[in-house]
Amino acid sequence: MGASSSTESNLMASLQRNLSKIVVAPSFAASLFFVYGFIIWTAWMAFSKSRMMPVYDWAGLRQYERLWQMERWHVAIENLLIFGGLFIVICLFLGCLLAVLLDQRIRAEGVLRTVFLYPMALSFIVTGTVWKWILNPGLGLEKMMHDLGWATFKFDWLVNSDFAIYTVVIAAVWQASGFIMAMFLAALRGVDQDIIRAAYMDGASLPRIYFGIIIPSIRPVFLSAIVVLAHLAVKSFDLVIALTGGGPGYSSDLPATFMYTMAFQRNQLGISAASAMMMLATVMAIIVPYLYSELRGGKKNG
Amino acid sequence: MASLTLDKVRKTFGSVEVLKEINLTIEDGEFLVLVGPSGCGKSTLLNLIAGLETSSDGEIRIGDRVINNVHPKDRNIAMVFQSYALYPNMTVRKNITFGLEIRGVSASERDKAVDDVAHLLQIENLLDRKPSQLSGGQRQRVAMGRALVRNPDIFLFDEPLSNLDAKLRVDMRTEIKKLHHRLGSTIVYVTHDQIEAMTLASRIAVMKGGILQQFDTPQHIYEKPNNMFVAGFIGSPSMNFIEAKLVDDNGRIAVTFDNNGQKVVLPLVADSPESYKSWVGKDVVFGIRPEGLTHKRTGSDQPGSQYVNFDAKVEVIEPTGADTMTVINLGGKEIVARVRPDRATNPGEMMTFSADMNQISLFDPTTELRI
Amino acid sequence: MADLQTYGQDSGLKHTLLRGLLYLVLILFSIYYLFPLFVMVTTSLKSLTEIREGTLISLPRVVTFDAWNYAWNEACVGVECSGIKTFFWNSVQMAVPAVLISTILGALNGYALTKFRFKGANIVFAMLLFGCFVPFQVVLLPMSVTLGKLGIANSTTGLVLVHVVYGLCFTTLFFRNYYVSIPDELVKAATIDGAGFFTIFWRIILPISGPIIVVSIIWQFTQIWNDFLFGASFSSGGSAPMTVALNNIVNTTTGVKQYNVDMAAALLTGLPTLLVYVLAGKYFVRGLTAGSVKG
Ligand SMILES: Nc1ncnc2c1ncn2[C@@H]1O[C@H](COP(=O)(O)OP(=O)(O)OP(=O)(O)O)[C@@H](O)[C@H]1O
Ligand SMILES: [Mg+2]
Repeated sequence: MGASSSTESNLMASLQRNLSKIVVAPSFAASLFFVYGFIIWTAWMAFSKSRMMPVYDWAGLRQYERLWQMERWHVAIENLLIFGGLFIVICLFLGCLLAVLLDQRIRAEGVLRTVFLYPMALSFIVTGTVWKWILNPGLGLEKMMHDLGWATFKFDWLVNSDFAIYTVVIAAVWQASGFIMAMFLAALRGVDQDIIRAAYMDGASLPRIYFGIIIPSIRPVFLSAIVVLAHLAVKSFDLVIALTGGGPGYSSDLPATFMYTMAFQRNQLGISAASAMMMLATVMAIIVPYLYSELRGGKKNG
Repeated sequence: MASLTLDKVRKTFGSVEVLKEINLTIEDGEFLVLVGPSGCGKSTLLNLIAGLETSSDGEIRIGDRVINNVHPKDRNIAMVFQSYALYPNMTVRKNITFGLEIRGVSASERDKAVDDVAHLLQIENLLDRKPSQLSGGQRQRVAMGRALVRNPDIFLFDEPLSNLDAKLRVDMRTEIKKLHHRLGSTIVYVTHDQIEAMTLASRIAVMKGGILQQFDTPQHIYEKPNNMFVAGFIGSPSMNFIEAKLVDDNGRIAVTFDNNGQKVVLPLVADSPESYKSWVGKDVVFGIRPEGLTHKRTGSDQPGSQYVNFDAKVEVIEPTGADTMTVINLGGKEIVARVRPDRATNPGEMMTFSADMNQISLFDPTTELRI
Repeated sequence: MADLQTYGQDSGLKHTLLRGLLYLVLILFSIYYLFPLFVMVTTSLKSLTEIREGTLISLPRVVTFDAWNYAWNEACVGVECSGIKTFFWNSVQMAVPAVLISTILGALNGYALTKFRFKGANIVFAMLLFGCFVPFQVVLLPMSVTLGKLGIANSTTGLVLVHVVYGLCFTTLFFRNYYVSIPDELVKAATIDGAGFFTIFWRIILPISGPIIVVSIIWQFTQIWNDFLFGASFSSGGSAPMTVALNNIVNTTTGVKQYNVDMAAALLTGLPTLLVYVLAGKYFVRGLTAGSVKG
């Protein structure tokens, strides 16, 4: 009887141990197929002759060559650099500034935080819609300024192919800067109070304390914020669609909208896949070193 | 209640061998204390007994039953954790009865069991609180209650008192001891507090680096430590070690060492072990506990006395109330002597000490084992 | 940090001026952030004539909910002119199951990966985590082929599947990081008490997971509700989610541009997530930071 109960519990024990794996297995399988499998699939498509329909005969680097010969792709890349660069820099600056300002024992801090952060809860489509209305040259900002008496005010960026991408920056900054503020504020609150007290005892002024001690000590948050923003920038799609539709023409295309257009409107599956792979490579170049350093740093804390 | 046997038990995590061939047997009703420095494998050993980890090798028996592959819940053991591990979402009553409920004990029986245990631990008024509403000491009691209610063969305690403040720790220590007397249960108790070990244990197992160093009664471990590690680990302040030489001093074996250019000779007592003879002329480590070194005793000048006197300069004194710990420099080492407060002198002064040669240990300087 | 204020006390007047300036700057920023919301609300309450005559910041002289009514019941999405309400329900039918399924799976994964660790659990987690960072463009083409093969292309079911699959990495991350900080001893104690994998999960772990469940639900809900890429790629016509419908309404080029209807539709689309944000802002921020800063 002892033996049978022990084999029984043996079974139980092994089932218990395996339950854990069984529970994780579906998610893991889904990830293997829908993430890793699809990446390989897309990579393959990018090496194929696919146009309207996916076909899988090998075409080597043909699609990549065609991609890089397209004027439109170059515009998208250039726009990504402009948009990404400005978006990251302005968000960092605004986020940091707002966090420091809010950190001064502000009476209505909770309310202000809510106000700065609420755009993050909205869909980019909603954001795009409202900014499109505000920035439209006919009845929007321009008319408002005219009516306020500034007759020569002109703001037609939305329909100006040289400036359309900057309107995307304006809307994107409006949406994401509050979030960066929240990140910084949390970090500021986590700075060791004793260091600040010590610096104050040493006679350091408030700006000195901020620039000399606090901001350097939250450097890791800058890195996280940059990674988050860069990731957002590369993935940006909805906002462009809603705000400019990539236009005028394709002057405000980003790689994400380029890829979508090629896939679903131009029937250029191969080029589309190739551009998606380029996007993946860009994101990986940012994320992998970051994750590596984060995970390695995390080991120390157990 | 039951006996417990560990037979050549080994445990590896990956390539790291955390426990190396542990052999232990305790009888029914014994109180075994596992001590050792942090990371020596005490918790791992306890987890093996509990069944929370599986051993890599060897056999674990409760009574005559081999339990290596028995699920924890079927081992009839109960465990009290360092962090207490009370279920935060349940009331004290629920915490105590959870195990019974899982085992299908009827509600009325559970209620009775909880009342008995609550009475025993004097936590009747806490039964409807959540763990977050309890003090550290109260949580500790509840954790004990959760173990007691199951009436297990063996209780396992993993540093149950280390999160309490000093005063409460002493009180709970006494209570656990009383409880053990009352219930007569078999207990395996992990601590790295050697005072807890000495006061509670019927036998102590001292571990280091996954190896069992010594397994014996507290008194024996204290008086005859197997090696320098055990000697240094058990006892507070710990045993003094002096590098010395064993010589033949006019027919008697004596320990000798150099003290600031002066030779100190301490003859051993006449009935010293035979084994010492073979060490004459060789280097040894001379170990003596602080209470073996005191102020000069009456009768210590008699020939053949177990006390030997010598002079040394007092460096620091640390009064503890009952005794004054007097630090002297001897043989290039800082040595602690335990002196009666009224006999203590001030730092910088010379003082005559007497060493109780009945309380000494000699160790092999290379293997660090007892000679 | 709040203490700095006491350190920063300069002479009285200078201090007062600085404080005044500080509040002024903060108020200006608040205006910047609130301006679009203000414009959305006022525009949606005006009539078209009033919009043409007034400016962005002029308040409606006559408050009218016609635009809201029109947006909800009559606006044209493509050829279908029955308002955004059907698409609202599409979004609800997509979001609710997707949020629930991904949260439940995330909780189970997080629990299994931390409290019943198996060999390779860390690698499994790292591989799952990777999915959070993949730009979704890279899965669009295979996904549309796969959904077609499965026969759930252009359906809410398809979108639920997509959102569950790509939301899993976030929910798993949330729960894993939360459960890592719950002491293992709790699970050990319950094991000795005789509870098994699911009993421990159900009786011990889940009851103390309240905050992280809220974080996960809020995060997933905002992500899924606000999604446009998957909606636009894998749905068509009547099965589209609300964001797609909104974009469609706004970009319809036929007829007179009805800005008030656009704004009402935008507000209707944004309302559910805004409501969540107002009600549970604390958890919203926690989700955002947990979802972006790993650790
Ligand atoms: N799951 C594990 N995987 C790998 N190594 C482990 C694991 N559990 C414990 N160890 C290692 O085994 C050794 C013994 O750990 P154990 O917890 O038994 O020590 P301990 O004696 O209880 O220490 P403490 O007094 O600090 O509680 C340690 O070096 C520890 O790092
Ligand atoms: Mg331990």
